Amino acid sequence: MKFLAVLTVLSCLSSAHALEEFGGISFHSSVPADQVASLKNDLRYVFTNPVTQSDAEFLSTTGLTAGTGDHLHNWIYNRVRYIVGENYDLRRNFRARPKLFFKYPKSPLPDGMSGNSINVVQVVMSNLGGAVYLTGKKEDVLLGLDMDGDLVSVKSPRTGILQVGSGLFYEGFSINKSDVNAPANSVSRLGTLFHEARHSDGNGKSTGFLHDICPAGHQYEGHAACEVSGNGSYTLGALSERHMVQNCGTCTTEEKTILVARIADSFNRVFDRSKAQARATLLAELKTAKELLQMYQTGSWPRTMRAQVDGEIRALRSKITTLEAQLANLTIVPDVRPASLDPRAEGNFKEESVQKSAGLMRKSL
Amino acid sequence: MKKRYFILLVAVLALGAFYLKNTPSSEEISASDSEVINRPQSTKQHLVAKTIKQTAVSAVQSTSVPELPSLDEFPTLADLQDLSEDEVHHTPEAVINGGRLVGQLIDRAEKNPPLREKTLQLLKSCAESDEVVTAVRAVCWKNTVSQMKNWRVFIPLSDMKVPANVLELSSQLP
Repeated sequence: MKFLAVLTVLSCLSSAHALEEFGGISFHSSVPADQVASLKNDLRYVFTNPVTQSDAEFLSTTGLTAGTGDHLHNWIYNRVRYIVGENYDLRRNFRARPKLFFKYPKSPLPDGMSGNSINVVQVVMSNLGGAVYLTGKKEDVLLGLDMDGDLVSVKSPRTGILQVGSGLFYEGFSINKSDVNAPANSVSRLGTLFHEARHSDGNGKSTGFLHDICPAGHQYEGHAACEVSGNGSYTLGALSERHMVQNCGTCTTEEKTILVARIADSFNRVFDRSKAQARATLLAELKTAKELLQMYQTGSWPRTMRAQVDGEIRALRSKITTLEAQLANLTIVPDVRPASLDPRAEGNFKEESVQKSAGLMRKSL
Repeated sequence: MKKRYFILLVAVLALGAFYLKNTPSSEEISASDSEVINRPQSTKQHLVAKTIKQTAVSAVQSTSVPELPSLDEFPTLADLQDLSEDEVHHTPEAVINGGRLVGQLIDRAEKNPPLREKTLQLLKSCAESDEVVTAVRAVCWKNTVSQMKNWRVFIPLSDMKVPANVLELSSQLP
């Protein structure tokens, strides 16, 4: 009788802490119920929406063999296993784990990790798994996170722990403002999910596909909101949305146009480092030339120097014209995407098959 | 009995006389009409003017082309200044709003063909403007070309001043 009572209490406790699961992805209790409902709706959409045309570049970049829902869901499932909410307290749930049979690979850390890890945490804020893995690798400590009572060891960025914020559901970012679960809103949120899922990939220098600082002259200049590779998170987010927009049969013209603007914004963050450097050099030269021109034009020069000053003004004007023409011809967005990084993930993880993930999704539907 | 009929006859005659006295003659009728016509000129002009205005308003309402937004309504690079690291990590609201504006323009022109030429010109101006957000310029250019073909409305494009980066970005859009 006592044994039965203990069993009952244990089962109650375990059910109280059980993570809610959908399509193989677990939702932490910190994710509000309405957000869980919308995310479930999005996963249902990506799995069930009929695909009439596949985006070839999306398939080649993701390595998918088909653009159908089961393959798309499988790609997400292999990179996102846990979703925590905005109020999930990382410090309170952080655990150092005994590193008994686990060794980090001896590959180098990404460039962003060479100084301090704060930059990385900011950049991949939404992909906690990647940030925790890289921090553990740097300190050579196996780290884990408490997931409603379950301790999850982060032995690879592929452990797949994402943090979603209320921004994902903010009305201002909505494509369809009247229905949070409209297909167009699902496409937009799924694009973000693909973007964040890419941060679970990579090895050595490419681990986490960290963002790069946007170059001089870029509209996000100085922010870590760009990438120099041709297969990073922004490219992948854009390609996934392009694939989904082309297959959204119920999206209106207005909705599709907003989604296309999102795609353009993501592609616009992908740049070729050499072109960006050339642009920065030209901008610096142009700035100097303009400052010199202003100095010659506004200075009170002795009459004896007038001819020389006029000569300088003519020369600088000519130089400015040339530099401006060179800048106009130099584009930030390349004709061909920059070189791709190695997307193979490092650490301990198991790549699951389409059959397995599809089975999990069918159980949830 | 005869006396009773006589009284009734007198009463009918009296009523008839009374009716004839109170009914205006034809001259009197025309006089009253002319009185209306000869109201003060200002009042008449006011009525006529109001009628013309009403007709004009209804004509404008039924056939005129609604106003398009100005180029100032497109999001500018200045709108992206001072955004935090978090705000620029994913597509900012200004870009979403720009996409919405372009989508609404196309929708309106789709339903209202007289708007199409002006819409294409506005989209072309948006693509050419150095102040408009790059992603939105690319969407504008994409739609200038695709809708021109779709609507079969001609505007000259050979003189376009769209920089290479906007053209390249536009070529990657669905």
